[in-house]
Amino acid sequence: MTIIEAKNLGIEFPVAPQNARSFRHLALRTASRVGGKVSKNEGEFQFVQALDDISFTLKQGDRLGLLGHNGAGKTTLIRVLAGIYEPTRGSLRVVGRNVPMFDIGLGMDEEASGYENIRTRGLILGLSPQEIEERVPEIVEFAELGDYLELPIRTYSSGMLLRLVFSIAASIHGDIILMDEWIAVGDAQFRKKTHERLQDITMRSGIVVLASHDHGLLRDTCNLGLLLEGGRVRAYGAIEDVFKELPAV
Amino acid sequence: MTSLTDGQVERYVVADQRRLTWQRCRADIAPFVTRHVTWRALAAGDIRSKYRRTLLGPWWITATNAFTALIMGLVAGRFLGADMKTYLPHFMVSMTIWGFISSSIGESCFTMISAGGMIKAVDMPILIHIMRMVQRNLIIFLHNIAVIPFIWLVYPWHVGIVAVLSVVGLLLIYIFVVSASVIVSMICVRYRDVPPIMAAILQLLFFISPIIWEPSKVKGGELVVTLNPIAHLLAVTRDPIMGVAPSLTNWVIATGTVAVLTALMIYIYTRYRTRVVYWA
Repeated sequence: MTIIEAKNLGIEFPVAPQNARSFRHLALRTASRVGGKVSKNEGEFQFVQALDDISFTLKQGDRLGLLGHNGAGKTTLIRVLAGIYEPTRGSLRVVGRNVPMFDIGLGMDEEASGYENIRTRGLILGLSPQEIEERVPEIVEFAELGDYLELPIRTYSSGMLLRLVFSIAASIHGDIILMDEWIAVGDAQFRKKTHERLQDITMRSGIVVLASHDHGLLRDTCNLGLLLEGGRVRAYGAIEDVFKELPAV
Repeated sequence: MTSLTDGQVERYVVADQRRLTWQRCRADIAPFVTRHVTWRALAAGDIRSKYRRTLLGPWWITATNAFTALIMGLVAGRFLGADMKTYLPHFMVSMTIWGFISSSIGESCFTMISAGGMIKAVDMPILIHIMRMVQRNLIIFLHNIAVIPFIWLVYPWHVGIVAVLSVVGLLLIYIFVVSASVIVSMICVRYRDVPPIMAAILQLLFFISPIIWEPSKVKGGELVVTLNPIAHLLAVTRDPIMGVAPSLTNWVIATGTVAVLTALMIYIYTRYRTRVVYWA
């Protein structure tokens, strides 16, 4: 059984002003309490309410599309679901293994070959060296990169990098796929393959959460939609209904 | 190790339950052990990629350390007028152990900062970054120590059964290094002024610890050796190798330092673990 259940979820981000991390400033702040010369708010942490009062429940087979302007909170929500940010308000229950497929290329060693990056990435995702070796043929076949896997990945195009990262993540057989819009980098043929793979995963009792500005992609992939605006839920429901809530362009 | 592919996982986080419980501490520090395959394999990969396409591979580490010994023995010994038969073994053993401590703690200043991107992209326990770095330094240390038997062949000293105790000493140093690295890395990612301060502190520790000088030869200032925990950690590891049993004081202060530091590390890690992603 795979479930994602968010109740009144909120994230408050501390944002350090450029100099708040320094000791000199810390000393000045203490001094200001005595002398009162440095303004009170200077150098203090400011908080950004990145997500506020988000509630939804996803059951197995659900494919949620996240919509919203830049900075609406889509990526933050994906990171919360991935367990990278802990909610500062409300609660979150996640049952199932999640496979993070966002921030493409992070944790990849530019100088190392495709094969070596498969191993590193697999380790970071929690596989043992033996489990990775078992998966290498499958990854190689799915990525269709051929001899390029012997070359350092700095020689790859962004589409090729996407193929590699997606193939590694897809080989994990997780229950929950968390994806950012970079999926759109792939060419038509690879998009078809990823689309099939995603359907495969959701058929096998999985959940997909996809953040994107590509309405076609969302319509093809998702059954549910969540429209975010300034960190709050503007609309939530069947994807077609959520599209109607979108402000006219 | 728990694999991503087996069994069900459930994660339930309620925002208000931020209280520190023993249970939470245990869950937070468990990856030190449960994910050992991950950090060991990542560190081995780092070393392999660093020495790729070199003639000696990681044995370059051993070669450069042997060169240091040679320089010390041939040149510096004459300047210092020291008796190389006792001084060189002391210096090389101390320096090799100190190298592990200082390079790990020195590197820890930037471990979390440079892992920032990854911390924001994958939900891997952040202590794996530290363990990976310490493991890398441990591999370097083990290559460095390979020089010691050769020094023994040139300037033999008495090695008794007491040498076995150095394994306990090394274990203490390892835990010390891990705890210190976790604490330092978390402070450094929050306060960006700390790395240069740490560099200065490590410099200071190097000079006040019996590495380039022998504790038996100091003229005054014995108090520094008594109060310096690094001196005791060095003593419980180096002295058994040199055929001397460490004193009870050495053991008590070394173990006490490690225990206090580890407790502090567990507290800081559990308390601030979830904040690091915002600081990085």
